[in-house]
Amino acid sequence: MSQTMVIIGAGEAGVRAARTLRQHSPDIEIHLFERENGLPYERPPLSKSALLDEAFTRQLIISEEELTQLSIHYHSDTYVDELLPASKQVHLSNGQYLAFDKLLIATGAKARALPLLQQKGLDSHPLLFSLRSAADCQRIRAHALAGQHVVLVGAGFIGLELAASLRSKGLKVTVLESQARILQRAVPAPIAEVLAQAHADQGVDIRLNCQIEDIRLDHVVEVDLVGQTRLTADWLVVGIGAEPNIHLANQAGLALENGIKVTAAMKTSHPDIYAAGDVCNFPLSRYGTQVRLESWRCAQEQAEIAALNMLGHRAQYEQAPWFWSDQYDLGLQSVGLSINPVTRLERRYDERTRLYVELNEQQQILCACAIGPGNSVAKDIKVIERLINQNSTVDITTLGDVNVPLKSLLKRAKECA
Amino acid sequence: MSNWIEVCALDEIDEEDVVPFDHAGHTYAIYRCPEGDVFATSGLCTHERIHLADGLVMDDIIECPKHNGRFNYKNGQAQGAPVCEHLKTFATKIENDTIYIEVAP
Ligand SMILES: Cc1cc2nc3c(=O)[nH]c(=O)nc-3n(C[C@H](O)[C@H](O)[C@H](O)COP(=O)(O)OP(=O)(O)OC[C@H]3O[C@@H](n4cnc5c(N)ncnc54)[C@H](O)[C@@H]3O)c2cc1C
Ligand code: FES
Repeated sequence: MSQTMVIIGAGEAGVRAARTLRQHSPDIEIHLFERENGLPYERPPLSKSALLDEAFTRQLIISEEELTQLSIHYHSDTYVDELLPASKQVHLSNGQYLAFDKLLIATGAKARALPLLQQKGLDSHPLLFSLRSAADCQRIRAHALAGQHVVLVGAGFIGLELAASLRSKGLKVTVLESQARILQRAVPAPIAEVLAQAHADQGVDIRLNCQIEDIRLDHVVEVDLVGQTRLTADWLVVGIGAEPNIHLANQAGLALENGIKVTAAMKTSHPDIYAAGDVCNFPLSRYGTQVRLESWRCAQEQAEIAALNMLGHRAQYEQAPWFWSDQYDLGLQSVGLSINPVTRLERRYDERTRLYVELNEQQQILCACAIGPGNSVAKDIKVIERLINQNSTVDITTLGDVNVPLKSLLKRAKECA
Repeated sequence: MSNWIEVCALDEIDEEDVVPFDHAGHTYAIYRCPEGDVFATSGLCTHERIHLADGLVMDDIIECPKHNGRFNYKNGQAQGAPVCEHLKTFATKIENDTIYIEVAP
């Protein structure tokens, strides 16, 4: 009898897993469950082109034809509301049970709510917005009229991308950030500086070290800030990060630790249940650490590993994580993790085009983050990604010298290998 | 009928590298492989129409600068998600150290 593979969540991870399963096994039965309506779609454009382009339509991850062709049973508008690990079944919102041989949890993450608004019972006020789904984006699009004033809480990637898009549409944008600079944890200071300058040049008002005392939502938004004058705005967006959707895993008693805890094989504490994408907390042996990320490419790479292991292969996730963000004409890319760096180095091509690299004691690159107009930094980041994944020792003088192409480091590493 | 267009001098492209080339409203990517031979494809990624010349050439592969879609630039073949549609390729020739590509008349 053929095996039944069940995937919960049809985002980047879920769809990639389904594709990989089919690619390696023509006979298994694949069920992909998604609580949202419609076909699986890409999330990154929701804070970028979706807001700027009037004619924007969802960018699909997979088409109806391809789902049929790969005989993936896609169940949209179907919420998995319970996971029964002992009998290896899932319970669906339509009342049915389905038994699985292997299960992948790819439920992603949800926008974190602002505790203050929750306490005041204002979580679903019509003037309150967050951004995770196409429906959220649709709501924002419908409200984004030039001349309106919007207050954005949180200067993370999604918040800043949203700020850039809304500003470009002619809205007045104020961003409230509790930290001393934008992207404090995610991006090194010299790179964040370029972004902060771009926002300032465009007229976005970013308030740092900002403490919110109270928020009132009525016909308008009123925000009281400690030591500052009251802000009045037309609507409010909360962008203070995301929380993994661990509800099912928690109920099922799977090991959790800021997400579903998995091994490098993407296996949870249950031998037949795997997790991948934004929902999982995974080990990266290269860095000797366990992390949860929200990265489009990681979600897909992890799903591929999970799918292979569901089929009995022995694959491990070892890639240096990669991420990108677009704001105005600037493209940011980063690769690797900043874990115990010893050497820090900047390669500055010009004011707006910079690469920042961190290395360990052995002069191996740990991570890099770069920014520049368009995709100008992509080549450098790709070279660095390869240097990290090959554990190459690099020459620091070359790395810091903008007149020597980075690719020469790769060639040298190849010759040494 | 063939239509050969002059692109640039051979030494303007490094080995294992790529440059963009625009002609008559179309954009192309012109490559030199590690052995020095010249190839040409359409210049925009088939995923989101991003300029491939900002990407990285490694051996026979060009990696898109945006979401890392990969193509074999010698035959245009897309190597898998996120790219599924192949790139168009164009014939090239070198005369007097100058690169030419053949485009539709
Ligand atoms: C606005 C926005 C912009 C972004 N921009 C970038 C970017 O520029 N670069 C980058 O690298 N990353 C970006 N990301 C992050 C990237 O989109 C995520 O890392 C990626 O989507 C994670 O994929 P996933 O499959 O783990 O989760 P998701 O894509 O969130 O998919 C999870 C799916 O599971 C479904 N689901 C959850 N629970 C259940 C259940 N019980 N039953 C059925 N279905 C369920 C959800 O509805 C959802 O569709 C962005 C994210 C957002 C929201
Ligand atoms: S634009 Fe090339 S891979 Fe997406």
